[in-house]
Amino acid sequence: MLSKFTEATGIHISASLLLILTLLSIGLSRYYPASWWLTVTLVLLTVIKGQQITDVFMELRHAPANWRFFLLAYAVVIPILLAAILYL
Amino acid sequence: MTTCLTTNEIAVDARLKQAEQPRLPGDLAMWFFILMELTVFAIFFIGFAVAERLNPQLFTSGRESLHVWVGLVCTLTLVISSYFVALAVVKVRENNNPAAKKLLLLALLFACVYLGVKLWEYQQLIELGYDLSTNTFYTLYFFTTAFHFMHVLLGMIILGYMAAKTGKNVYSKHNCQGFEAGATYWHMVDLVWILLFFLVYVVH
Repeated sequence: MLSKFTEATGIHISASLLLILTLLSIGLSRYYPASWWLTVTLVLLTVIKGQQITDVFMELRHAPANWRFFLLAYAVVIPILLAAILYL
Repeated sequence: MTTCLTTNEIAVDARLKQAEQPRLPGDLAMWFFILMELTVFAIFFIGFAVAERLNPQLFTSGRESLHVWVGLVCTLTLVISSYFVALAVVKVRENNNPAAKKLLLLALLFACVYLGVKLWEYQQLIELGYDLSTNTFYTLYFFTTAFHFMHVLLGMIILGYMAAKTGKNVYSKHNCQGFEAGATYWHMVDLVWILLFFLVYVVH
């Protein structure tokens, strides 16, 4: 019963976090001028959102390590790579 | 000192060990398909970023013609839709097919909002005279977002099929692999949009 409760609770928390981070990223993007810290913050927010989707929604937290690593690497590497191409 | 375990204790121990085992949800073939799709999208994203690096002015002016709130609404609807699908998986594991069906229908409703908003944005841009051939920004914008749009359509067909099957009580705690595979595909669509949202609407 406890595991079912925590599974659903984890999904609720993750969804709330995703909505908040989305609003935060669009707010920061619109109301702050372009700077290196803004870019780093926006990349970080996107990475956290990707991690939440892969770990909680896709349930890779309890998957074999290689699969989890591969999907998490995608969610982390792609935003960093895109920011590097655009800004470095 | 020897320990004697009862049959019941052995069964409980076996269940606990099974629960602790790492498990890939859904079907392995679906995961390979998802990896392939993610690779294709990664190539599009990198192409978009490289093209922007080569011509930043063009992309800055191109982004100004887009509606930021469209990107925001699309992201929120896809996240909420994914949330309902994730909850539906939990309900199926509780052998509660009617609740899972309702959650899938809610997910489909939010996906329809995404489709409507995205189509409205396409219509607005086309009315203003922007299309695939306008410049590199619009070529990449239309191509990448339309490719994602087609994935949303495919995901909606899969969710609709899953909803129809839950209506017939097909899925259960011990028969939910197909359901998990469909849900995983929908989450992949969400993951791709999160990156697309960052690249098209957020960075400047």
